[in-house]
Amino acid sequence: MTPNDSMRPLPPVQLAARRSIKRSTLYKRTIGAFVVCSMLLTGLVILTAYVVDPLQFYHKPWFYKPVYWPEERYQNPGLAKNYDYETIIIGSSMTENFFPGKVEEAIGGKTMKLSLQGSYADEQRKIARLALETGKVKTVLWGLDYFALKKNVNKGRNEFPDFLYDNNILNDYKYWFNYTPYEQLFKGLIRQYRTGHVQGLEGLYNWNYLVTFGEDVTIRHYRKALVEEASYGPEDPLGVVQENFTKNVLSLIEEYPDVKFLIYYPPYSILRHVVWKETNPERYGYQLIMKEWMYEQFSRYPNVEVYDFQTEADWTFNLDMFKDLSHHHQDINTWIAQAIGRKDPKYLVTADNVRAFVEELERQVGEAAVSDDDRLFRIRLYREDASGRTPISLGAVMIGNDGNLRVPAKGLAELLGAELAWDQETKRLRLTAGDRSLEMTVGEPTAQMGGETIALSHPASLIGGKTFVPLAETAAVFGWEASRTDLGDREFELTLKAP
Amino acid sequence: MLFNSYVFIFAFFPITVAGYFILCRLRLTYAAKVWLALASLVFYGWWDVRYVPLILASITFNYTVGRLLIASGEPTSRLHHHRKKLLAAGIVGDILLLGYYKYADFFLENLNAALGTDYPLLKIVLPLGISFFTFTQIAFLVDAYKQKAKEYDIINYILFVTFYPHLIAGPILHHGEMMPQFDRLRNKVWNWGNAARGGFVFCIGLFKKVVIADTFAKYANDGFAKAHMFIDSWVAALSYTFQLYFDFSGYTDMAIGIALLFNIRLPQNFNSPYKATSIQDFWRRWHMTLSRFLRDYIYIPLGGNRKGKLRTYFNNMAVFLIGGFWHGAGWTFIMWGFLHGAAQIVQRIWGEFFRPMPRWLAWAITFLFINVTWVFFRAESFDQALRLLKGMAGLNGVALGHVKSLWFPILLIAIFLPIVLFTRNSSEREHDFRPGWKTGLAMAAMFVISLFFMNRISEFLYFNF
Repeated sequence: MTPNDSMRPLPPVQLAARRSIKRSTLYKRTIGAFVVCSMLLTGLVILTAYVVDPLQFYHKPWFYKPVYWPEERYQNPGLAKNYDYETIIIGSSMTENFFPGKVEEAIGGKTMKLSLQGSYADEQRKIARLALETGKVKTVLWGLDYFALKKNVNKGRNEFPDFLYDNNILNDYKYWFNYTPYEQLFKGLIRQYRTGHVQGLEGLYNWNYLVTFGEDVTIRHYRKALVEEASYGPEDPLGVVQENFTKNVLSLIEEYPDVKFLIYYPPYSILRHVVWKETNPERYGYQLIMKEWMYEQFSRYPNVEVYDFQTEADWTFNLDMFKDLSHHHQDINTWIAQAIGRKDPKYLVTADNVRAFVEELERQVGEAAVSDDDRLFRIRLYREDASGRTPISLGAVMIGNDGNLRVPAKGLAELLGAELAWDQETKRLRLTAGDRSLEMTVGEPTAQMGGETIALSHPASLIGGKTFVPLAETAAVFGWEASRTDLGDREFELTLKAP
Repeated sequence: MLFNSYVFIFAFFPITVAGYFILCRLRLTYAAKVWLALASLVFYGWWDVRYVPLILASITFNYTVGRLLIASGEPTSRLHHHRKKLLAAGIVGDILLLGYYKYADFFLENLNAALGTDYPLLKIVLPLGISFFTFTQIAFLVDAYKQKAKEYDIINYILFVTFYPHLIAGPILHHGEMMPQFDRLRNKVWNWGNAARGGFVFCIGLFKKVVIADTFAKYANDGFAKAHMFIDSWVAALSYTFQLYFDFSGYTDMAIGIALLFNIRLPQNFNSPYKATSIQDFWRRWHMTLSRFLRDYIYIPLGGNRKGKLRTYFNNMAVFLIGGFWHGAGWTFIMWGFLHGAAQIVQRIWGEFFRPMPRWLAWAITFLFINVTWVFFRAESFDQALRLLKGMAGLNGVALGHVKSLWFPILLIAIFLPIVLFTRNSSEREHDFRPGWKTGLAMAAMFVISLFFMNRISEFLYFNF
């Protein structure tokens, strides 16, 4: 199998005694050659990095058609430094589907998309700053997610390539001595050669064609999130969020008074907010507080316009435009650009309407209801008594195939003025108001009132730690009357009349 | 700190070497040892400073027991008749420490599963190199007991345990094969020959680790995560077979090379293991210092092959079960050890009743066996291992499309299989070392290419926002 299988004896530890002068010179020469050759090869590596420059970090490609790497944290610095533009797009994956051409058409100025997927504000600040420092930027279109203002947890997991974002050439060695960009360039050139297609900047980072949009997909995500997010850890305190905002967003606005900052809050599906409200009310509340607080800060600077798209119900209730709870179709990106371009007062936040945006969102969240056959409805709940009709919210609402609503027992108990008792052991709940008391067990199709058994249209169910009970039947037990008025295909009113 | 990091190659390594020889030059030889011992503790603490007290505690314990064992060797000593108990106490202490840090959660998990209890896991982070420094010190205690090792000086002892080239991943040393080298006067002088050879072996090791092993790692990881058909499973298994060899032997090469710059020669640890034509042969070539440890400190004390056939089989199995468990706290490692133990027994029985196989067949069976057992070694669970083995056996069918999608790892395997089978290994190359500018150029090429491959960008794994 091998020329020499037996273990060779190791050479004697020391040859010193027998070592001739000549041998030692040879060894020195070996090491000398190693040092000199290493330096020459290092020089060659640096020169190659400069000439080939797979990330276009020093210049646009000299002798090949550009290959862009979708690893944005690495690709964007080159785009920011070596391309021409007047408008930049900053933000998370919510901004990746903008077409620079359409943004240019709507807002003006040759546009460069510098999105960073999964990015926090400090990362967004770094790329924005790099572009701003070139002096080319006139307008910044910045999609600001509440998520991005939280504590950066990318650190450690995905190290940010800071060496591409500073002016220190010495730490560029991390780029020169890096195998991956070359591998990507090589693969990209092969792809170019085989398909004949050259990736342009227009569709770069766009994921629209890679995913499936749809109401069914989005509702599947919704059901999963209701369960999974119930166990998420504690929310970052508001102070942390505000500090991140000041440090990373506001400071840039102050530093570049001649640049126009168009800040917008990306529209998530309405169910995104419903899940936050259900599973993490603290976060839900914080983002509403932040809307007003941020506007207060922004309003001190004349070079900022703020747009809020989160209450555009035509988009956020149309789940066919979403691939999951938050990520929307590229058409919405285009509509956003157009709305900002015409400075649409419907979305432009002002001192007068900032509160109204918050209230409207809260109202819409209360109206969203998902049916068992995976359709999103918009329903308005009212409470009617002698003094008239007032809108109410009971929390997340579900609609059975028969049209009957199910709501969280807690919210309903409050409305009915009933006392709610829960036995974890038997998964049994009891509502008591006055002399009446109703008992239900999770999963059982009947309820007990006194000695009487009542058939339920749908058994009580446990989702993400919350118990949902049939609305009409429960209310009826306590003498409330429910009446429904259809307003449209997926829209209706339900009035609960007090006894 | 890892050998394959900038901070080690460009700062820690040159500074410690320079400091050592400057102190030696000033005839401060004791200070030079202190310098190296401290440097080694820094090397260890770089990863997590909280574990420095742990290794120091382990050293203090073993040094104390070791000194008592040495002192009690004199017939006049009061402890002379209790030496066996003393040794036992020392070994038990070491095993308890290792047991707590490496195996506590494994036992708790199994206890919970077996009895339906619900003891919370301790979630202890495994201190780097604890398996190695524990074994090194157990060997020292036994050597001291047998009066083969003497060490009175605490700094010498610290240096023996922590000398940073061998601290984290071996080779597992005897006191007697390293410490006398530190005391040889001529070893305290910078030696161009050793520097050139050490640098040469280091460059080979670095190249093996960061260029070859880390390239295979990607395909091994991908494959173990999802492969289940014939071709992809074999690509995964073979990728891991090569990854593990180039990773571990590369790291050992670096250790040997680094030590050589200090004029210390560490024992060879790998000798082209995949050239083995039997499982015994394999264990004479793979992680040789571990095999030696297990033989000298477990197999032979158990009676080796001197107490009859059955006892020999039992001893073989015991050694490999312990060896398997030493590699990791999990049933898959125990299974891996069991299979190797069983193979040893089968080989012995075969040797008694049958004529030797043709070499090519013997090699093929050995290599196949090693590949299959590495699957257990690498797999995170039995389910994963069985999924892969099923795929390798062809039970899930063959998807020829994998040849196209996995052409690159297949090409790599096709390149490196002949290399591990037919070319000389790093020890042999070091033995035949020819100084000259060509060797210097080869070293530089390996070095710079390695630097180039040391940085790889992992993809941003997140698509929720």
